[in-house]
Amino acid sequence: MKMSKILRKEHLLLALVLLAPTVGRAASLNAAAWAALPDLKGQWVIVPKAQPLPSYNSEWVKKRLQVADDIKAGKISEPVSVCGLPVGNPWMLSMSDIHEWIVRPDGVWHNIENTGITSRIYTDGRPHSDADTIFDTYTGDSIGHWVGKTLVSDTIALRDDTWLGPGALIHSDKLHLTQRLRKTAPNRLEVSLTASDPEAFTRPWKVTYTYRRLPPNTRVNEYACKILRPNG
Amino acid sequence: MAQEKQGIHSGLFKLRRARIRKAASIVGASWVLAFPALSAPKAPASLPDWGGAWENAGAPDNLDLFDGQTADPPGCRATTQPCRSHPPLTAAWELKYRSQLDKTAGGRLQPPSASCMPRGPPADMRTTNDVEFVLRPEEVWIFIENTPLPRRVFTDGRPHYSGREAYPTYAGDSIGHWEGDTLVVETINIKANQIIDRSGLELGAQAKLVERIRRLDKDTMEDLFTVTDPELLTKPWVVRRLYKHQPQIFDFACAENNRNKVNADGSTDIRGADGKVLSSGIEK
Repeated sequence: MKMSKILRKEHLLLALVLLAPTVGRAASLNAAAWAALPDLKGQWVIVPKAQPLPSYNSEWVKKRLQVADDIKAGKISEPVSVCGLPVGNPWMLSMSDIHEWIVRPDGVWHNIENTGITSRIYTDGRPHSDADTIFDTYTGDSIGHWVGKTLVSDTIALRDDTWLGPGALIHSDKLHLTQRLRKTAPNRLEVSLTASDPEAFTRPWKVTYTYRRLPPNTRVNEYACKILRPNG
Repeated sequence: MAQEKQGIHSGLFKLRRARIRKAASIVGASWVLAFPALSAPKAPASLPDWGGAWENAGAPDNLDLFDGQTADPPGCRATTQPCRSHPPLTAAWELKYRSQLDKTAGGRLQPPSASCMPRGPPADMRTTNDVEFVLRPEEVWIFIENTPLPRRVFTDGRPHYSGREAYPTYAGDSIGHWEGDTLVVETINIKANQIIDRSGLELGAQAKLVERIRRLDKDTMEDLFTVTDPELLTKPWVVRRLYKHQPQIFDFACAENNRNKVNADGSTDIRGADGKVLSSGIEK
């Protein structure tokens, strides 16, 4: 057999061997894509820190005071105190108890122990859901991409009956979130959040949350709100 | 109340009972071999693609009953009794199941999930709505659209919890390993006496669940369950369930549109569809 034919055959075999692991899988799930991801394995908790209040316009200052009065009067409940309702984004970022960020090339799943909800940030290159199918949800419609080891994400389509956090931090359905998530040390994680709401805020609300990693294999417990609050 | 959502799935995946029984007998005979020595975690790029969401598929009896293959009468809905399945129950658990069926027939059996309590396996793998598998080498998370309780399947070679850490939970204690592109999961320590389907069937404290989960084709996932329980069952009970591909999973808000508002004194009202109070001051 001529050497040129042998070489062509070897090239073909080599190409088949190299392609084999990716057959039947999305190209973005190859070894290089996995290797480029930061190590966010394990369990994290927020490092408590006082945060600034959003800068509400005058109409929304009044709305917020009304909400506070209604809560005092028992007419409505804080969203987090109703069993079976998710706190949603962005409140879930500042919840106590365990946070997990499950990182894959095609997405990041942010899961919290308290209330047991999951927010999905798709990093597979898809755009936001289109106008015909998108609807407002508790965690919203999130897409992201990696800039080096920093996850940059964008969230829209959030319900207007969730809060940004405790203390009647209400918002409109125009709320738009951008997040930058990165490790600042081997066991420190930081999320810089910018929340824009042209209907309710005079300027975007900017906060930074810091998390520390817990010892390996910390057990994430189950959340059964109704056991303690049967009428909640 | 936040009842389990109903879906119309007839026409999807008409299960061929004879073929399933044959598959079941093979799996049942070999279930004890399901857990060889634990293997090393899979390399990330060799994990199978199970992306998207997976909706429970099958005829309506397969959605109401965990074991729809033995639905009696075939095609029945658990909400209209008589309707039951036929696991290989011991005499004592057969009596217990009949008692549960009586409660279901009388409208006296409310599943805990109807009051937003967590739901673990195998009940959560039976619900209508979607299931999502998120795979990493060290762990597989199974998110259930219909309950805010993820299943965690550790695939890093660790054993089950032991000592003080070994206690019953809703989701149980799951470890798994890969056999090719099939995820083999063993779950123990599932909280006893949790209703696993709409007929009222329950598992005992000794129940052990082995699942073989694999993607059959582009649109179909399969979960082959083998339940063993010396107190409950006379032999291993094999159930095959199929899931149809969906693009995306969504939030689940169990208490949304709950009209049973809590009054200031801690009691609740029952309201009709028009919002009018039907019964006031109950369940203080």
